[in-house]
Amino acid sequence: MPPHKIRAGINLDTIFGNPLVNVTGEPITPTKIAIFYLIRTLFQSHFGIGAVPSLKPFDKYEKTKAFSVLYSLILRDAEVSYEDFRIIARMLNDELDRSVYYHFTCSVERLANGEEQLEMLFEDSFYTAKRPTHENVLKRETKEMDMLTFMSSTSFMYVWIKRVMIQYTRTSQEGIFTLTRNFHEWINKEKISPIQHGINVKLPFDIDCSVRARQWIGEQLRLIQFCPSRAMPYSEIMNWCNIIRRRHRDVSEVNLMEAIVQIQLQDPPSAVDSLKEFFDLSMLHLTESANAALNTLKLIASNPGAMRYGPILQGRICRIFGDRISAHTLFTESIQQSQVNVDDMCNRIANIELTINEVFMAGPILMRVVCDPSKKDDNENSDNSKNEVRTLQDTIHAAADINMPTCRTLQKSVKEDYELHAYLVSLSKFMLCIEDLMDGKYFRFNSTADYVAVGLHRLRLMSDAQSKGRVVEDFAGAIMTSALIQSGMYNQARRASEELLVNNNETKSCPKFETENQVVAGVNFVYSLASIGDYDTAFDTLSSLKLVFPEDVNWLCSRHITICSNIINFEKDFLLNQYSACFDHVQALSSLAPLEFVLRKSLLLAVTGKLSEAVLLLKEYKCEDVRGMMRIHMQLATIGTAYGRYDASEYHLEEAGKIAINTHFQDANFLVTRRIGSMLLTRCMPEEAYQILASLIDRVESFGTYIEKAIYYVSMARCLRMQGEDPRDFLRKCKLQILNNRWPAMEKLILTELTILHHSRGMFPDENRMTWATEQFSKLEADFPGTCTWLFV
Amino acid sequence: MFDDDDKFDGALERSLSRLTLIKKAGARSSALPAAGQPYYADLSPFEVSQMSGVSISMVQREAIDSRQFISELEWLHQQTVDRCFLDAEMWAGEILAYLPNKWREDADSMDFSTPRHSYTSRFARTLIKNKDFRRAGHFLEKTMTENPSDRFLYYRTLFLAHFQEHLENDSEGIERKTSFTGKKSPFSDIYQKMQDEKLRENDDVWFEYLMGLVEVQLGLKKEAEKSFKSVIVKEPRLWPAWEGLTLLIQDIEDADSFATSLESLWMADWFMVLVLQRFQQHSMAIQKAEQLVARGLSGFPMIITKIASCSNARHDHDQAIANFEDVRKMDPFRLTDLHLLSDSLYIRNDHKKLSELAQDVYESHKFRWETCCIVANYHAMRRDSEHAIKFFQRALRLNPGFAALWVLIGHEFMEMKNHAAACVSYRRAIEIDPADHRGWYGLGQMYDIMKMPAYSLYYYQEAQKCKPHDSRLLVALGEVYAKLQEIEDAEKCFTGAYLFGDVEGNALWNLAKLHEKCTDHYKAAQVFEVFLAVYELVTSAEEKVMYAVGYLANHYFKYKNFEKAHDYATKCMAYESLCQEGNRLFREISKIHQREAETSAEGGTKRAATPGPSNQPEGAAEVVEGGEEEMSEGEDELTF
Repeated sequence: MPPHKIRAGINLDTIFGNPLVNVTGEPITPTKIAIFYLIRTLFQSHFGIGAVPSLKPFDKYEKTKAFSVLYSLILRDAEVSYEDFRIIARMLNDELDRSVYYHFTCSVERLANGEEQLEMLFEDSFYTAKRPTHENVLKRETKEMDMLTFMSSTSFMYVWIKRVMIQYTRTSQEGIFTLTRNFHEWINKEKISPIQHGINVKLPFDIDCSVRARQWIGEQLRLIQFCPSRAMPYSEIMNWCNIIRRRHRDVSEVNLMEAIVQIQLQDPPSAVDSLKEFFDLSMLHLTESANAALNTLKLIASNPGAMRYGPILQGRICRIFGDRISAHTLFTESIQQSQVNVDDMCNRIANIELTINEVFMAGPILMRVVCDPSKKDDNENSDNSKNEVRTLQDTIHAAADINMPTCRTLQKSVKEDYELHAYLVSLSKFMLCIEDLMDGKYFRFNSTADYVAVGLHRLRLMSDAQSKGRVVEDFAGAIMTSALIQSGMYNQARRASEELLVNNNETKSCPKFETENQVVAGVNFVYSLASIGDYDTAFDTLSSLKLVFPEDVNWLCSRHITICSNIINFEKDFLLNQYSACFDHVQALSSLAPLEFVLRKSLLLAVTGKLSEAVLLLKEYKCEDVRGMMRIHMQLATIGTAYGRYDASEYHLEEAGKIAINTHFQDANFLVTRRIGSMLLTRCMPEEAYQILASLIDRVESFGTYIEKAIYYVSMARCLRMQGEDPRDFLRKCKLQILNNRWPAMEKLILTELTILHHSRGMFPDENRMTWATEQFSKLEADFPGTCTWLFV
Repeated sequence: MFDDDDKFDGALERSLSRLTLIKKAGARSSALPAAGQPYYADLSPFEVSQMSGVSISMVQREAIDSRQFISELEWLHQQTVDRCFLDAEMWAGEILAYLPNKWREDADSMDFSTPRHSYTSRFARTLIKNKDFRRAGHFLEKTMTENPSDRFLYYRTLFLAHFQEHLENDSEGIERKTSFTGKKSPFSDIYQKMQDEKLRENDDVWFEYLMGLVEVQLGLKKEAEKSFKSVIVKEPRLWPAWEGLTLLIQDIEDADSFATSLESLWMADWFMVLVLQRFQQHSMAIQKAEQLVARGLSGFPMIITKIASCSNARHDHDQAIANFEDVRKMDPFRLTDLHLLSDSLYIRNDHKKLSELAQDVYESHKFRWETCCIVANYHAMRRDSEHAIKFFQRALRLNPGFAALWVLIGHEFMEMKNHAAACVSYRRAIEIDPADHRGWYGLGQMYDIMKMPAYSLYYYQEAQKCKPHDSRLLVALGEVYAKLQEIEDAEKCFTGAYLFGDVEGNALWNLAKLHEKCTDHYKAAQVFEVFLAVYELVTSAEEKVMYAVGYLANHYFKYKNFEKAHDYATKCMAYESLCQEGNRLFREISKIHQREAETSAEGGTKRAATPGPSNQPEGAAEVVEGGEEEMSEGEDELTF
């Protein structure tokens, strides 16, 4: 066979430092020296010494014994004293005989007496000697199906021996002196002193060699993302990262780790620094396949993947910290690179990221129809957005199509292949879920909580070792609960989020999740509780959520909690007419949730009489969210109604109605219509108002919050009264909604209505009832002062 | 005397054993007297020599005259010191250091003209010169109590010994990092010892300087800065302290106020030159250095080289080459900073001079890192990237702490289209010196070439942070912003680049093109006008000038500023390829003038009739505009 031709050229190995330096070694400690010598003794008994083959190699049973002892020694992360080690050797001797103990102690003590030099290698003859008997043994082994061989290149022990030998070879002369000195001490002393300097210095076990350091980093990375409270404290992680950076130059993942921690510490510039360093350094890496290394005689190979995945991660950081435009360009660049280099995997991921980013940028565009056919004036714009949405959908479809043949062949190793595949499957499930959202699949009038919960479950499919699939699945679930809340399907949302939270169990391979999905589900649970007026349970849930997601550990999640608690508190205090407290709550929202801030702030301003300020605030806010737009219009209309500006109110209601028609929000329609009714009522047009309001009763009862319901009922009652019909049924219903002094102002209103009813000139004159009502009113007035001006919120 | 006896005994023993051997041999050959005879009693040295076949004189002489012995060695020692024969100096010094006590007394009574040290301390000094620090320390420990300067030397040898061992350990440990926790730094021991002896308050100011050095090693930069400053205040002539301070000072103003607070001393100014260079203020550094020259320090290679290297850094390559050549004439074997000369020659693409330089230095100093760098540049100019990289690599071996070398290696890899290796090379440069803008810039450029502007933005930003007033970095940053459609930022960058002194002369051009691209014609025209004012006479920019003239002529015509349009059309005539365009514009302008004249004449007669004719010129102008647009498109193709 002709020799393989090697292209002459610059040897990257020599330029970027001898890669052997970076090859992973096992830090040598006295115990490990002893283990190595024990292995060598065993080898000599099994294979023979020098060219002389052993006459009595170990049989399967004996090997099992030897292995069990050796593995337990190797896997120990603590040092064993010489005394204990001798006991172990003696135990082995009892099992195997062949003077293992004698040979072992002899070799070790010769070393300790300085008769021999420390040498952690095998003699050449070990590799070269022909061992006829051993061959026989091998034959016998195959006959007996003895799969336990000492030297199988995939066995853990083989790898361990190799690593010890590599570490020994690359230890400097000074280092070997140190090792020897320590070994002497180990034999002669009871106490074990760890090696204090040189490359064999004793480090925390988890990071004392680069293999373990990588594993540790992988583990911590996963924990930080899935369950930050279980990860090590961030400062300690950073310290360990520093050690790794100094000691294991080949572990470039340490930069990635730092980037993630810095994101958690809310330090985006440093995070980008670390991330960039990670990707730049991983442009060159040690070849993974020995064949490639042998063919080129080079250990270093270039890794262009970094260039494709770098932008994705940087874009993610940008997205997390709100720089969505930069994120957008970065994702585009990644797509471009992956297309040039035909990396299908990267292309998909980048596309998905891009889609998610678009979704964030445009608010909930998750509807098939975004442009309103009636608005022809900004035709150009809507055409563009239509196209954009269509391309997005195409990418989603492409990404969800997992049966493309290229996908599976692109991966290098089987394990990675499987994981990526599982990840892709779950991503595509996620996409299906979004598709459902876009179709409004669950947002039917008749979809019950059970139907939704069961429907969500059809996503559950693949499980992988690191539960990445589960995260994506939960993600879909969390988004779905949000969408349900938005559609006013509080009951269903509660059921779905409860399901998500309850199913979050710790398994062997992964801890209990503490991701954003869980917190979103939790928060949605709280919202759904608040929507039926169950504030006590809501606040209980909130405080327990706060415990699980503390801000210093998990700021991304705790943000949601802050928003939620402020909104709920605002709602509660607002109904109690405690406006100053409300101002405090609103202030906290200003940076976290601008839309909510604007809506509530303007409401407060309007209540306190600053009408023009409130209107200005609302009108100046540029909202891209469809529902947000609708809410702004509705609120403007409400303010208009309250101040008697019916024309403005009418206009805004019409606008809101246009939006409401085109959305799948179940509650949108009745929210707008109810406001129209209220407006008519305040304009003293009870008949028209009644006509409009009466048709809503089903929807209000299924999709309204308790506040909406109360207002609706009281409006209906008033309509009926003004038309001279019996309103008491609705008043009763209304009273049911506002038990426990949730909304004293509304209660006063009901009492007022009652008083009017039972007044001597009223519909049902009843002296006793009227007195009772006025008494109640004065009691309430004493407890909760303030008039009931703001009823039609 | 005992010593001498011992020596004698030893010699006897040795000769005896030789005799036995001879005898045994003789017995075998039966040339010697038979056994049983006394071994050596009656054998004269002559006979022995006869037997061994070697003849030497073994006549006993009188005792050595100590005074003569000493004076001979003394003379040799002085001569070797004068003539810089280090090993002979060592040899003589060692013998003198081991003089017998009695002789030493003699020596003390003798009179020598040079300042007297004891022989031990003198030998110690020679040892220091020969870099045998531990041994020197051993000798100095004996004499340090007698002699204050030996005391200083003792600590200095300790420092140097640790320093050397530190370096040696570094090279021995295969892993690049060898300083691990757990072991106390030996420097801290010295520091503790010196503090215990209160040496900072010692009259000898050098002690404090030494403590400053130890503090640098221990990473106590603030304290070291304080020490050096106090040393300089006490003794402004102590240049090493100044030099140490240049690397520690935190900002230029601080350095300046410190330097001016001392009485006028040229060292303070030189110190400022170094500080300015360190903070990349090259123009100011050159100014300072030239001041020194004007004050009389002309013709010092040190200063001229510094000016040259600063010129190189501010891309004034002609100046740099001229200065370096002056130095080379004065001092042909001075290698300091010569790699910058090769850099300038490379940029000026001067094959002849660079190859001459490479040959010269390669002959005289083959294994200096500067040489390797020069030869690498020579190979790079010949587009022989592989050899260039090999030599850069060799230079790196010789001087591992020099970030620029990694940058150059990165450039060569880019040349070879090995992006991954280039990327890691640039990263190495940044690792060595995070303030080196070239590493960042190289990375940015690389990703830019890969068509990833958004990803490269970060690197350009970092580069610009390192050197905020460099026009090239600003232009690069601006280009990226322009690609990312962040027009405002791009505008800021280009303007800044022009204001900070546009080195490559494309800031204005880019700015104008940017405005043109955003169809902001008014601004574009303004910038083009400035561009013309600056670059009209620069030959290398002729194409751009032509484009600018054509653009401006059309622009003013379009916006009906016929006077200016006329001016620029005249300018068009100066360029062959623009002649036609100029002529066309002339024709159009004259047509319009003519029509205007006609309408005004008609308007005079039929002013009251219809407004129609008065509208006509506008319509005509529109027609003309259309033609102009077509033409300008053609013109675009013509020039670019």
